Amino acid sequence: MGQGTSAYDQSELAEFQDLTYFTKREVLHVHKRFAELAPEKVKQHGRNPTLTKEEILLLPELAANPFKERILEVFSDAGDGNMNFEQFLDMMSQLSSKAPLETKIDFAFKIYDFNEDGQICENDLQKVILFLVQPAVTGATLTSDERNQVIKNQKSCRVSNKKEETVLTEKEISAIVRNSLITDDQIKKLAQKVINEMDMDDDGSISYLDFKHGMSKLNGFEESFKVTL
Amino acid sequence: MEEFDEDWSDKASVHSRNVNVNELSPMLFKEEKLEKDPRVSSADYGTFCTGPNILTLSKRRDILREQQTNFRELEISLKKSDFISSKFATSISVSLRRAKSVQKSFRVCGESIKQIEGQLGSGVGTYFKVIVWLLKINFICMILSLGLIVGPGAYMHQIRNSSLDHTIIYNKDDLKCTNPNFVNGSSVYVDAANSLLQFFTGTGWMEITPMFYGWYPTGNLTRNLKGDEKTVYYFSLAYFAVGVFFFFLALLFMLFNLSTQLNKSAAEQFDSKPYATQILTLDYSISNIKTSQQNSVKIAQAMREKLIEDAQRGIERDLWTKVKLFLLRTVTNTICLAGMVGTVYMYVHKIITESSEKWANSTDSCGHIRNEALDDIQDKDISEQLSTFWNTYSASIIVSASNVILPNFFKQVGSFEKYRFQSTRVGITLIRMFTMKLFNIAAYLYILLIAVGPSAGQQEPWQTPDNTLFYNCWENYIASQLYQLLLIDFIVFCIALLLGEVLRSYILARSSFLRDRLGITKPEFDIAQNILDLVHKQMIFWSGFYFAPLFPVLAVFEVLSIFYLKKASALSNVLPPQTVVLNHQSTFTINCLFLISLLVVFVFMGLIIFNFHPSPTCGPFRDTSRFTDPLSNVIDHSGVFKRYIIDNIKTTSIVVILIILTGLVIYYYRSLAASRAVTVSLLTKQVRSEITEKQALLDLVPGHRERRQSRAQVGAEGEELGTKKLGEISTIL
Repeated sequence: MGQGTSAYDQSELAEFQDLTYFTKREVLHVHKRFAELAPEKVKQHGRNPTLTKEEILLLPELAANPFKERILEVFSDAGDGNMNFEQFLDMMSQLSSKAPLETKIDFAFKIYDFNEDGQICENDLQKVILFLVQPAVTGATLTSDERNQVIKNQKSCRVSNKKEETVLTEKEISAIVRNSLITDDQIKKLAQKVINEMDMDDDGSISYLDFKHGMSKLNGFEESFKVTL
Repeated sequence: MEEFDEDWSDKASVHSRNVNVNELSPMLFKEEKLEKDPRVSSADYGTFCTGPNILTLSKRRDILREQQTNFRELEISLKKSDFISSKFATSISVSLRRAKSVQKSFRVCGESIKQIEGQLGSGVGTYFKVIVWLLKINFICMILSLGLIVGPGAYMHQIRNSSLDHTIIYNKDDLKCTNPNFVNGSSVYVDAANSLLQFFTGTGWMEITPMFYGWYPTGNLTRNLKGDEKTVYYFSLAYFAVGVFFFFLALLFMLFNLSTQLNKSAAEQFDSKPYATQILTLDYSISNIKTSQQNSVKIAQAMREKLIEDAQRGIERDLWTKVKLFLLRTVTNTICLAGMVGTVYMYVHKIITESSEKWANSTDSCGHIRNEALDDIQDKDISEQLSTFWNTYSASIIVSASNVILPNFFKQVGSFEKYRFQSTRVGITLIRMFTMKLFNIAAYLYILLIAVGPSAGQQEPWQTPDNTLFYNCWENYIASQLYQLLLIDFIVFCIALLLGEVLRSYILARSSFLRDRLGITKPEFDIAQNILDLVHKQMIFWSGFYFAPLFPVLAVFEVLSIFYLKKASALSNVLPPQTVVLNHQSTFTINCLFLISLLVVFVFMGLIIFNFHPSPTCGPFRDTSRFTDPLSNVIDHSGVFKRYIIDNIKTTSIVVILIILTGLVIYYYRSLAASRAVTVSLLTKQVRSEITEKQALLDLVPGHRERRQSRAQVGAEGEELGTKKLGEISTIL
């Protein structure tokens, strides 16, 4: 609390209260959490230092989210994931439980629109599914026996295809593990199914209006799309 | 149409909110006006359909400051009276906003729920939110009970021997349904162990405490005011009103909640998007990395299963397979039904009938074991003492144990039934579990009514040949049985938690053989089963409330204990649920469960209040022939018309009318939901045509049509391009 009160005075806190969905107390709490991510930097640069993406991803509430990097890209002005306190505060406010449904839908659209063309196309959805499954892939720990088996299987396939490969990279192993959870074909089918459900104008992609209309009816979206500090 | 700069659309990016497409064309031609428009940033411009145009915090700050400046200028130009009224209105809205934020900051157990959601997901968080909701309801009930019944009752006890004029009739010795050793106004206990036993059974000395109905005096609190005897508190009426009022309040509240959710739920049913729901409603509140990984696995499995289910939907089974499945499911349903009925049979016929025969001669008028019989028992060996213990507590133990054992049995049976869709299997198991719990409590209450029927002046069907007992204070008997059930249920809950979660997790952590070789894991948090357990406990509270005014205090205490015990166990001993049936999307279903259980208790209470005669020796209604007499007395002094209405309400025909009305209300809301579904489909068509129209307008913007066509082309060439891109994406990840 001490650091917060010296950083912002009452009038600024009142302004933050008006501009976000937080009370003054909550703004100070957010500032405290922000400062904990890089205390030296905050001390050195004072009120509104810019933290890097890696520093912000130290926040446990974001670290476990499959879309953590995408969230930071959407909320940072430069689009690189680095943000200052105001952007961080804005992000937490928009992701809080107090934010209205329309705001949540807007930001969900931004997050899932990977190529930022104003439409969620099939490729975007395929990326969404891959990102959803990714924590399971990174979390999967193979024993040494299993690793050897995977490498052996790959070797035998490649030898039969007359390609020689002796070592599987981590990425290749991850791809194999991911494929065991959900295949590429299934991902494509799922992306197509979602488009069939949400696309109102039959143009093969989900526009913002399609997305807004569909998400406002999805049960549980408002409850689940929140990050609480 | 004027020609405009072709580069315009490439650099236009409108940062304003909800710009009307119809306004775009005129704006396009007037670049100057666009630059001066405060809604639009002059920095950079893109295409017109970039999706939501969101203002950053700094831009919003600029707009806010400009608005405040404008407002100050406007205030200066206002007349004094208008200025004062606008200031007043502003201060009211600011105060309301502050009050709202203060009220929100007093979220009960908010931090704990956040911790649980972060670890196990918002589905498990829903269970704990239901507990908090129950805590609030029971807390209100506790305040009403303490303020209007317990407090005045205690005060009336205190002044009963005072010299003040009063019409309180109370005599401790009238409470004949007490400890057999309670003689001549003094209590003589056998020993401390017996006293402790009576604490757990709700008998003996417990019956002359404010916990139970019998302790409460009858009559009114009066004062001699200016020479006149004035009644200042109608105690019997208050007792009746609190008991009945609370039920009506709870019922109305739930019906209202349900009706608002029924519309939404039914409309969503006709416009469901199962794939979008799976993929686009990720739970962002999870903050634990391991839980996130498990959630990912769960999502991947769910998506795969949904695809497989959809593929199977079109496949018709052959006749022989259908017959086999029909026979199999008939057998499994019969087994489940036998399990439920068998449980009830055990504690209805075997225990209560046998015990009434066995103990008929050794019990006093309250059905308690006489002292001589107690001595007799103490001389017996352990097995016979255990048999005595079993006979005393068997009903409660069987009800509570069946609530733990039968749900797991139903899950195992369900796995044999070969339902194509997991959602069907899980839904059927849920229905069985709920029916079992409802059936258990309903049968238990029914047996209590039969047990006390003769004591309450009832004939058939509340009297059986086996029933030879007569209770002087039958209300206390009902209260003590429900009190016993409450305690035993809580003890069984704690034991199940200890053995099923804590001990299992402890053993698994120390045994790699069980973990790795046998593949045994920590138990999953079964949201549905836990919520049904809450419904069961709440039913017991509601049933006992009228005969035990301190039940709400026990309820609050128990609900709080459940919250913290479950939280402690959930954070370290369980896994997040893999298959979710009841979750944060199921408020409607959860409300339905509570409403149905409340209605069952309502029927039980209605039968007692309108049919049974109060005991003449105990309680606040001892000098009346009906529980409704205090209300009738008040109404008799009121107008003829009111009397006419109330007299008719007391008849049983009103129940028929109420049932018809309830049916009509449900039919009305069902029709409303169906009409809403039609509205949704019509509006969907309208939205589609509007979007097509807007697309046609946007096609007027140069470059937009080409971009749209290239996107469609990518979609059409999807397979080959998609595979390539998927490969690229996978390597990037």
